[in-house]
Amino acid sequence: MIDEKLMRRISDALTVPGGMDADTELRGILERNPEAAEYARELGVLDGWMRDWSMPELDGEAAEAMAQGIEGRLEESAKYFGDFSQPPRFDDPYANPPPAAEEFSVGNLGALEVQASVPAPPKRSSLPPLPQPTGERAAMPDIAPVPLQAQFSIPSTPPPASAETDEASGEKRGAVWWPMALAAAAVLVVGVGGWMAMGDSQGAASMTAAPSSEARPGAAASPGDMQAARVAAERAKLEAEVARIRAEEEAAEEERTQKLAEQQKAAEASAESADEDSASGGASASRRSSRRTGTASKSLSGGSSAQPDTPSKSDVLSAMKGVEPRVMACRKGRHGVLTVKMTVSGSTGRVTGTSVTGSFVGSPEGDCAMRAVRSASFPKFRKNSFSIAYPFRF
Amino acid sequence: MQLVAANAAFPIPCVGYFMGDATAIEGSEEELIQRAKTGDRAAFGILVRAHQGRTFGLAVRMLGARSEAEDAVQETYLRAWRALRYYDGRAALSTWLHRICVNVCLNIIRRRRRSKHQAVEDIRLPALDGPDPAAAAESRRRFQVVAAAVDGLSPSLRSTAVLVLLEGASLAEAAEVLGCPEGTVAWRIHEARRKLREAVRAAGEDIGGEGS
Repeated sequence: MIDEKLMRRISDALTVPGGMDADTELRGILERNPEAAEYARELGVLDGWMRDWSMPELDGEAAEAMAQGIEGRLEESAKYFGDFSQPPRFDDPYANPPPAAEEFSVGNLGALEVQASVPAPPKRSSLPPLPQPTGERAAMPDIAPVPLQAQFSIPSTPPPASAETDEASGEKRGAVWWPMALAAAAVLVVGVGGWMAMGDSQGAASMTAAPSSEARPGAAASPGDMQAARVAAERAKLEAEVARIRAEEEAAEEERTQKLAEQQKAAEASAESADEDSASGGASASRRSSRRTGTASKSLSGGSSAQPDTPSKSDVLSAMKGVEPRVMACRKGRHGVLTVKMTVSGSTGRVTGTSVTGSFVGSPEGDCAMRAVRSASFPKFRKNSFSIAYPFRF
Repeated sequence: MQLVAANAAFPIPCVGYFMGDATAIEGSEEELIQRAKTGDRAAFGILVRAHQGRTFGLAVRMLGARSEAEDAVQETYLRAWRALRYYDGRAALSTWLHRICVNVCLNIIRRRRRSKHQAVEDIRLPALDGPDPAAAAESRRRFQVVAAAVDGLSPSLRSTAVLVLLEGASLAEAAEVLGCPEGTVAWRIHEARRKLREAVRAAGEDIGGEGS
């Protein structure tokens, strides 16, 4: 079997100008690995076949006939609905590279600058799995204590904490707490170990905090029993620590939920007033409002667990790229940054409310941009809705 | 292929034909686009003639059947005409047209699956005529295997492989057409190569028989 990374490297080398010859290090690797060299050679041959694969071309007469056919059908273009000038959307499993190895998921929420209005329940699955508090000696090392990382699968690298939103500060909190928890656990291990060592020398082996099933009170403790007791004590302490962190995260989440709900109410109120002011009139605003209500009630029924909590940054950029030409078409000569604040429904991925901020408030460009942004489509997500302010440079 | 070559500054040395109108029309691509945006069909006709060859090539590589490829080209330009007012010139026109063509071809492939498409003559395969019939037959058989392998790829891998491996687009160009990061294109190419190799080997084709 050839290493996946090596296969990718071979493919990358074949893709860049210069091919394999440009990567001397890779050539060295291939000289030492005949299987990989064979793989590289076969890919090279396949590439050659495809490069040399001559395809039929349109000859002059056929090309002219086709062009005239197109010109003759330009009137028919109205029947072609949908904007095919947007990037294709693929739903097959090969559309995107697989995510990297699972990291601590509080940090995986993404660096998207969004304000989730009604956050989903706290993600319990985001915490590392707790070890089973059993006393199985078979699973216990006889000599050295079980390394902490082996028990708790704590990520080696904390996730990046570059965002500045409440959501991101949650990430930062997670990123800060775990090293702290680790440090606390390490101190506890040393402390408990020292205490146990002292207790051992004083014949206090029966005073273990969490005796294993094989601990025999009153009997002389063997070194193996002592190790098991130490590990059990470590586990108990760490479980307590994890429970405390969970409780703190949940409290913070609740606080954030309240704060964001208030912000959301304010944003929706301003979006409502902007909608009513627009040329579409009060009737359509009330229709939109009723649609919003329907959407909200629908989304309360719950979403797919496979969906992300909120659209990713790239989802937002992609959706905005889709409507950007329409927004840009609203430009009437005035320059500046037009920021559209929008609320997106999680159950439909549709924009349910828009408002304009900045110097374009109440302007025809602003109204036009709000209408244009309403056609944006986001992938569905778990949270009921989220709001984002997106700037367009006119 | 140079998708970016036909950019806004690219003067199209062309003579306009539009439904019998023999008036010569010349101008840069940017001018023609601006005129087409205002409804000038003659200008759009020139753009069609300048780009349809490449669009047809892409459609053939994606679909294989001539009739489908021709339909795809027509639909591409009809959709382009309809959406031209949204074209903002940030990407080259050829890139924009390629993107529409990829979407149209993917739609046709999707429709094929629904309608249990019957295989028709694959014009991607080399003709059997030639000075050496045995070599021609061998070449045709080989490309039959490769074409089947390409057709067996998932839509995302197929689109990416056609653009990069068959059309010769760079990663950046393919990324612009497909609207995804270059890294994603590189990963898809890696996956596509691996799957093509597996499929070709599974079909009994000896890839190792040739030097690279």
